Amino acid sequence: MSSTEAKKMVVLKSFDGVTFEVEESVAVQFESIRHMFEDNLAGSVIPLSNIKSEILSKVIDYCKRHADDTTDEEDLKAFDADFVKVEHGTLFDIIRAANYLNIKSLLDLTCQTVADMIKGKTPAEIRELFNISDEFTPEEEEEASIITRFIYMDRYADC
Amino acid sequence: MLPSKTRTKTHEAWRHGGWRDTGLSSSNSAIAIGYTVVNIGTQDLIEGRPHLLLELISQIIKDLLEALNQLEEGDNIKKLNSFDKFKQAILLGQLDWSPMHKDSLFWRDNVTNFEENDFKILRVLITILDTSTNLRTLAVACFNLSQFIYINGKPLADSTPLFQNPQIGPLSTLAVHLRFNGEVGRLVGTKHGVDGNVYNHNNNGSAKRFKAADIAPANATKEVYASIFTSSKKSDFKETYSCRSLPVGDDDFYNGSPFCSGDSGILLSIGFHVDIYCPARKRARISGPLVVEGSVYEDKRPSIDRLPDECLFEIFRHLPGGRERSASACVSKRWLTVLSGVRNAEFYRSKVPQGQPDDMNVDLASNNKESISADEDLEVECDGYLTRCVEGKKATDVRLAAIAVCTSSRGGLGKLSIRGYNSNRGVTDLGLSAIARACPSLRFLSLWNVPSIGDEGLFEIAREFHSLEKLDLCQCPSISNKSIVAIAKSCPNLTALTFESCLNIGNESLQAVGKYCPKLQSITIKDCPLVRDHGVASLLASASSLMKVKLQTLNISDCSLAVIGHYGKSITSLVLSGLQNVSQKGFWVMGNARGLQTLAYLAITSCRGVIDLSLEALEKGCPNLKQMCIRKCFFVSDNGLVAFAKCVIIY
Repeated sequence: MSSTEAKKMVVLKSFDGVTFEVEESVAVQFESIRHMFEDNLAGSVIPLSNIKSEILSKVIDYCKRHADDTTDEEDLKAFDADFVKVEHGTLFDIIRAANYLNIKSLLDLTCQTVADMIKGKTPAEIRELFNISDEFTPEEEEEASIITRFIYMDRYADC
Repeated sequence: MLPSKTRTKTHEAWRHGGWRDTGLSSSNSAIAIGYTVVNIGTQDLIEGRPHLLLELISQIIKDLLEALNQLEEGDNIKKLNSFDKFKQAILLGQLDWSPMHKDSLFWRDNVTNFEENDFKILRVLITILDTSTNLRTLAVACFNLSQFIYINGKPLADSTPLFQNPQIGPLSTLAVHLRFNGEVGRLVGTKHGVDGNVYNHNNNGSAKRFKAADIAPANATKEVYASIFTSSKKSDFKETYSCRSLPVGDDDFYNGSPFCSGDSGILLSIGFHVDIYCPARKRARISGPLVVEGSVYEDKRPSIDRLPDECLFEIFRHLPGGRERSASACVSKRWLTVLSGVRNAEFYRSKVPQGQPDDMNVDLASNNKESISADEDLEVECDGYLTRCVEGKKATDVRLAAIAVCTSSRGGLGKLSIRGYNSNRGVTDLGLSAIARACPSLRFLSLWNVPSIGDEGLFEIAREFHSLEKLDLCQCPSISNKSIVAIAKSCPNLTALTFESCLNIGNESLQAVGKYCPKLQSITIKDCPLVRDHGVASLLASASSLMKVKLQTLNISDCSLAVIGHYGKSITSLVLSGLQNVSQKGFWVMGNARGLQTLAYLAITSCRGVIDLSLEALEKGCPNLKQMCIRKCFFVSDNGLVAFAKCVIIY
């Protein structure tokens, strides 16, 4: 997108009714609503009924930064690193929003962050970390223990 | 109401006879004292007229005695179980667990009767499934359908065009699920959002209560939702299968995947309450808006459970290595489920070099050395590929998914064997699909005695395993020609094939194998009633590199042997056993066709067709024969053996 065309504005409305006016150059990063511009519906209000305003503003912030060609790579990396330093709840909401809006780079960034959290932890620690209640039923415990054994098997194979 | 005349008569009967004269035999009752009992009114019963009651009782006893006599004559069990009664019950729509449901003989004898009137009974059953609100009726109807499919031995769609209707197709699949996922299927219909309970009807007769955990989405009022629960000893829930029959036009069948994406948000939100192993059908993005539950946001500690499966999927794709994947698989069933749906190729290539020493794991491993050595399932083969064998009770979907996840990081399995099945939660197509996705390089697949694996699982294998070399199927009644054809088409490297007691594998499969698998070297077919001359002949005629052929207990005739004799130019080992329909002509032609030039080993067991003459012909036709076994062939005499040449060893 060249900057001359990018003056068209798009209005996004969040779950709690807050509206955001963003430049088209930013909004085209939202794959899922891109076709709306293509259908020349720009200018109308696009409701995003499952994204809270707080999250949407973050997402828009991210997209603005990434749409800006002038920012150099180092800055962008630092921004990304900062961007994901949020509490889990917010992070998950961003993942959901990114998934819904289909913003690939943001989804990659946030998923990588969660994947990094998982790294080097035991299943119990992961459960604790992410507050997972859906554990294996007693019947499955045996199965689970088998999987655990697989982990060690894998470790041996690596050595 | 009784006509007044009769009433007077019966009153008189009572007066004349008096109760003292009556006894427990018909000679003392109303008839004996000269009255004909036309009818007995309710008033008579209320007033307790003794001789009328006795008449009644004696009549009942007479009837019973008659019935008993019939029973002794032996013809009557069939009468009790007769198809007509069964049919009547179905047509009335009043189904119950009557004795014939458990009698496999009944099903076997009457399976053809179901075809009457263009499968009228099946159509009625399906209508019942669709419309009935009585849970027991639903359960029995479902069971009947599944029994029919099971006994009939082929998918309904093959039986009649009726079942190719997408509206009915899923239901028949549902019925198969019922049959294979539990002793007897329990069906709980959650229709129109109403939860239902049903008493479990299993072999030990104990009753357990299950509650539907499914919620019918508001936009699905026309759809029939059904959840099937299998029983569990330890807890009320073990596995929940939520099945859905879809309206016309949608031929997908969401077998137990209530949280599959691409569906409404409600389904996503209930996903993790349902305790089931089923792969997420993550491929499509959510197109509709997600439903946000206000309460979730009030939770102080945010849970990752709030993320839909496809987000988890994305996260897992970013996991750097096998260790992380394995650890994640242990976290919860849902995670395992989602993880097993990630194809190996879909993981992001990790930038971090693998195999770095990991303190935590070393720590844990040293504590668990014993458990590893105690696990007899696992075995790492030296020649470069991994082998897993799951047996009996351990053969479950969860374990297969675990194996899939844990081995995928190392290139996947090379060899998988499944022996037997867990009667509660046997391996199904879902587990096999997980393996198929994770282990694209599997070379050897062996399935023994797994009735719950059907065509779906093998289709998945056909899609993913292009390097399959050996396929070994034994007692897999749900696998039919369709999937074998699919495998043959996609696995050109197939070298060895074994079909044993596979009731639904027949000529078509063999034809396809002959056509698409030029590298096939060894084939064993045993006890497959659908395999006939046609299949064997087309396989042998087109598979030019076949070296080992083993045919046991098949309905083939002389024709097949003639083809073997003619085309079996590269066959070195031939085993023929229990071929009752092959006559001496077959062996004679096989020898005289002069095609078996390279045959070195020949074993013939229990074939009536082998006589002296055929031995002579064989001797002439197979110049390189080094070893020969003849067992249980009663028509071979010394003369025949004398005519037999040089280095032939006879056991």
